[in-house]
Amino acid sequence: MQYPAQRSVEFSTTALQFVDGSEQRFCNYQAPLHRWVIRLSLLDQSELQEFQEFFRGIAGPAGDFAFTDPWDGTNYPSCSLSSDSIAGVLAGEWNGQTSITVLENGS
Amino acid sequence: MLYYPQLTTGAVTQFPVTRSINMRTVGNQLSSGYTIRMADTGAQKIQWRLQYSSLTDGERSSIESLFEASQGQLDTFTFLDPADNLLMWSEDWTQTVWTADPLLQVSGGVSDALGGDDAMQLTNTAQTTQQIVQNTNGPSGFVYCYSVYLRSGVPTTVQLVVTATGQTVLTAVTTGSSWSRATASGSLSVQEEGVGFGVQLPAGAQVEAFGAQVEAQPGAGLYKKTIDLGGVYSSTRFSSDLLLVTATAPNQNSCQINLISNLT
Repeated sequence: MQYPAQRSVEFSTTALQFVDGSEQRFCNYQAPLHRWVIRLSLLDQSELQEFQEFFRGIAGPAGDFAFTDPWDGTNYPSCSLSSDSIAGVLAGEWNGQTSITVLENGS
Repeated sequence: MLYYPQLTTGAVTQFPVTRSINMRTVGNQLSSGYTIRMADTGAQKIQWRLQYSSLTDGERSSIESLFEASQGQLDTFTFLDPADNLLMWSEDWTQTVWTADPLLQVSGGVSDALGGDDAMQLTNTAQTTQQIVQNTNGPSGFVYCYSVYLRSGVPTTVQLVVTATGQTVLTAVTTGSSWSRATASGSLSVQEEGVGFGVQLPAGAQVEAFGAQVEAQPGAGLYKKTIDLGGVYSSTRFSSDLLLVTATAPNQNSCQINLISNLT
């Protein structure tokens, strides 16, 4: 991962509001789900091709993989990619750029 | 057979190159956050955006000729991916895409040039030369750079093989005890559909080989590992029925080309 790095945490809450104004809330997810946006630049050809081969190898969002959070080293055993496409721009031999978003899968 | 042309430099394109891989995934997200996902493999595509500037009139003409011959996005042609290794299974020469002579033993699990264990050991048990070759669907008349990492326990002279029907070019390289990247660059004079690349060993020789790579350009780029897909796309199309070329000066042209191919 390179700077700027983004990480988000998402909960899913359902709120029921009653006529007296009170609310009942409950969470849909067993645990919050994490998401990482990985933007990479100044990759060489080999690194860029390796990313695209990984994307192809797991059939994009269809595949699961383990991801270690670079912020704190926590291993998330079931993650997937968010997008059906990956674009790699090779602006020069040592100037490749790409971006992927990793999602933690819910259970 | 139609082929996407090389420039006069021998390269397929100029920087920047944009290469996109597109999948189609059928997904169902449950309220618990759990998702069920299935890949729709038939819909997998790969796309390239090639941006050209300062093309000569001849280079412009060759692209326009292909566009006219393929009738825009109607017909397909073969495209050699400028951002990939044209060989398949670059580190596993036991795969069927590699054709070895009968008395050439090929085994894996050897420490490689990049710190892994993915190099191959090639042992010629015959009394004559033996070779291992992978054929690709590229045109034999293109400029290629073939490269492979080699080493051996004792100095050995092996031949890098570039072959097509009617012509074989051998390039002698001497291997040493440490990994070195041998390259063979050039084009064959015959105009055939298909060209093969490999290594030929003298009788009794044993060498270790790793990271075979072929690129449709005069010089070797950084090594790119491949498995079941190489960079030769035989069913590529233009993405558009329109080809717009801008002449910026005499013999100076620029354009942008969008190509698409099935990934499988």
